Parts: sequence; C-alpha cells; structure tokens
Amino acid sequence: MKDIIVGIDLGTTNSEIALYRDGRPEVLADDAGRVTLPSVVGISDDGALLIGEEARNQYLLHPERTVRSVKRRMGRDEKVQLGDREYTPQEISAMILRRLKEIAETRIGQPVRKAVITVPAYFSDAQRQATREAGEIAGLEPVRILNEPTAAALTYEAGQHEGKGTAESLGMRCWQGMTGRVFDRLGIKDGMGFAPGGDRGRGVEPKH
Amino acid sequence: MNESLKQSLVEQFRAHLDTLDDDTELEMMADADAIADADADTGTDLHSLYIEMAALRSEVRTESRLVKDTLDLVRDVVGRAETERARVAELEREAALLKPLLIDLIEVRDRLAAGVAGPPPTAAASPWYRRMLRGADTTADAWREGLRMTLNRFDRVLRERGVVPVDVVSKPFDPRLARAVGTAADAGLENGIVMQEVRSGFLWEGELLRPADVVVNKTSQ
Repeated sequence: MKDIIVGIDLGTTNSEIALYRDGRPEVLADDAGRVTLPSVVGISDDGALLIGEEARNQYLLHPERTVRSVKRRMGRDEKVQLGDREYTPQEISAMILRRLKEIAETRIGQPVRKAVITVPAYFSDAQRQATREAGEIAGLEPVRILNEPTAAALTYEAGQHEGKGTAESLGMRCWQGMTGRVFDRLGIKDGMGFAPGGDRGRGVEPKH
Repeated sequence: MNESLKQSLVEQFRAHLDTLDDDTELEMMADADAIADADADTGTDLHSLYIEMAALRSEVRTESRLVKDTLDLVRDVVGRAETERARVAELEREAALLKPLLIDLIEVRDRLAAGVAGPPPTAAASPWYRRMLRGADTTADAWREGLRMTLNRFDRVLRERGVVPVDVVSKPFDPRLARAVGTAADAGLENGIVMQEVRSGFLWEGELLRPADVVVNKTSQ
C-alpha cells in the first residue's frame, strides 16, 4: 500500500489535518463533521483524556487540568502540569497530533505514518526540533517541517486562489497569515521563501 | 483328487482350526493383512488403482464444489459489504449536508424561545407599536401564545428529525455535552453540578449537534 503523507497545521488555537488527493487539498473532518480541532488537552472528572472541543469545554471550570496554547511553550525546557502529572510541551502536542492522526486514519481508512507539519516562520531551531519530536511521539514521521506562510503560498500556487492577506509587488509576494494569535509573514520569490518574520501577539485573538 | 480324500483333508483342517485360540486367530489375520500389503507394494493392481482413481476424482469434484460455494459466499459477502459501505457513505454525505442546516434551525429556535421567555411588547412602551396594532384583535397573551405554538411546532419538527435537547441541568458537568461558560458558588449544591443552562444543547440521533452552554457550581473558587 502506498504511503500517505498528510499535512498538519499544528496551531496555537486550533489544529487541522489535510490530505492532497484528486488534485486538491482536502481538510479532513472528524466523525462529528468538525474540520478544526481546538489545540486543547484536558483530563475529565473520571480521569479520561479529553482532546479538542471537549477539553476546551471544561477549561473555565478546570483550568488546573486543562492545557491550551501549548505551542507557545514548544522548544522551552519546561514542564506542563496536567492533573497530577507533568508533561513536556512535546508530549502535549503529541496528544493533539495523535488525535489528528486518528481522524485521518478513520477518514482515509488506512494507517497514516508520515506528515508534513507546519510551524510559524519565526520558529527557532529548538522549536522546530520540538515539533519534530512531538510528531515522532505521536507515531508520525515528520518528513518536512514547513513554514506556515510557505504552505499557504504553495496552496495558492497549486491553483487554490484563496489566501489570507496576500500582497504582490515587483514579482515578489509577501504572504501574511493572521490566525488565532499569530501574525506571520514570509516573502516569496521564484517559489522560494525568504525573510520570514512575524509577531506572536498580533493575531486576531488576544493573548490570555 | 477324489471326493473322500478332499473330505478327509477338510475335516482335518477344521479340527485343526478348532484347536486354535483367539490370539492365534488375530495373529493369523494380521499376517494375512501384511501379506496383502506386501502384494500391493510389489505389484500394481489396475482394478484397485482404477477404483482409487475414481474415488479420488469424486472427492476432487466434491471439494471443487465446496470451494466454488465458498467463493460464491465470499463474493456475496464482499458485494453486500460494498453496498453497505456505499450506503453508509451516502448517509454520511447527507448528514454532513443536513447538519449545518439543523444547527441554523436551532439558532432560529433559540430566538423563538427567547421571545417566549422574555417580556411581550407592550403598547404603552412604544407609541409606534400602539399605532401599528390599532384596531387589531390581539393582546400580549395572544402574541405570546402564538410564539409558543410556533416554538412547539418547531420542536416537533426537530424531534421528528431526531434532534432532541440535551438534559444537563442539575446533573454533573460533562464536557462532552456542555461547555462551561460560567461558574457560581452554591454551598448547598455538590461541586461540578450544572446550575443553569444559558443556551440549550442538542443531540441528533444520539450524537452531539451542539453543546449546551452552562453555568456550573464551583464552591472552591
């Protein structure tokens, strides 16, 4: 069976998993038809692991056993408290990635082992390495860690004429992605990305 | 050989056989089988071979029939599985199309429910409204009753479509069914009990369509 490579947007607020098939990218939905998975992990009253919307639902009530925005801690040498245990940011991210992997496997009907994971253009080497480790913990081989604006530009170039805040001048494009809490930008010329930059606090959603 | 001699030899052989015990008899039978096997090893009995071949051919034919029946059964099962998978995929497609519509309908229902629960428009409150209702045979109660009837009709349609409200009030908070949008403290209540439903949640054919927004008791704030 041919290996499938999925694309994962491991976001600060929400995460998504997509597959390129039949000539176009398709964001895969879970059983409930939801295409975005809140990047939130929690432990319920009965000790069950909650990932996504269910974890977000209990955040206000049980912030001590709910973790969100773990992406902002990636690459740092610190632990994240979740219930009675401590986890590394990579382990928490791996839980989200594992859930996304399950969604894809259910939707596609075959195992998923390889993924391209996107990260903000401003991510350091340590943060990229932590993202790679999270993928490996989740049972995925991260074949590429891709800058988010590069991924957006590639999607645009593939004929999907939809983008987030695009600008074009002198044959050079500047891609600006403004998602939950991150403002991201990258210059593109001749299919190559350059001058990545951005701001973590300039997204549409305020910092908490 | 004359008859009397033959008779005499037979009598002697019979007398000899009578003297033999059961064990000796069994040994002789085994010897006879061994001799027959030896004969079979040393020579080819075409008649026996033909019989064996015929039996073998019959057996192969029977086995072939069994294999064919099994293959037909497997094909039938695979065909049914394909049909079922296509049916499930079709249902999923329909559900995916219907779900956003149902959520939108529930939003409209929320407005109706808010209208029924809220205060009715009063003629005294608005001169414009008073002018609009001039001569009309209506009252605040009739207005509210009309809204209630519409709401009931709405709920019935939703129920017929398998959409039912989630029952969460006075029960332990379940993040799979409800979203905590606020907390309140009531020492008389157990911690984690849903005190108020700010917005109703709904299930569709047993699956969550929309979580309820709830206020939960949290005494240890």
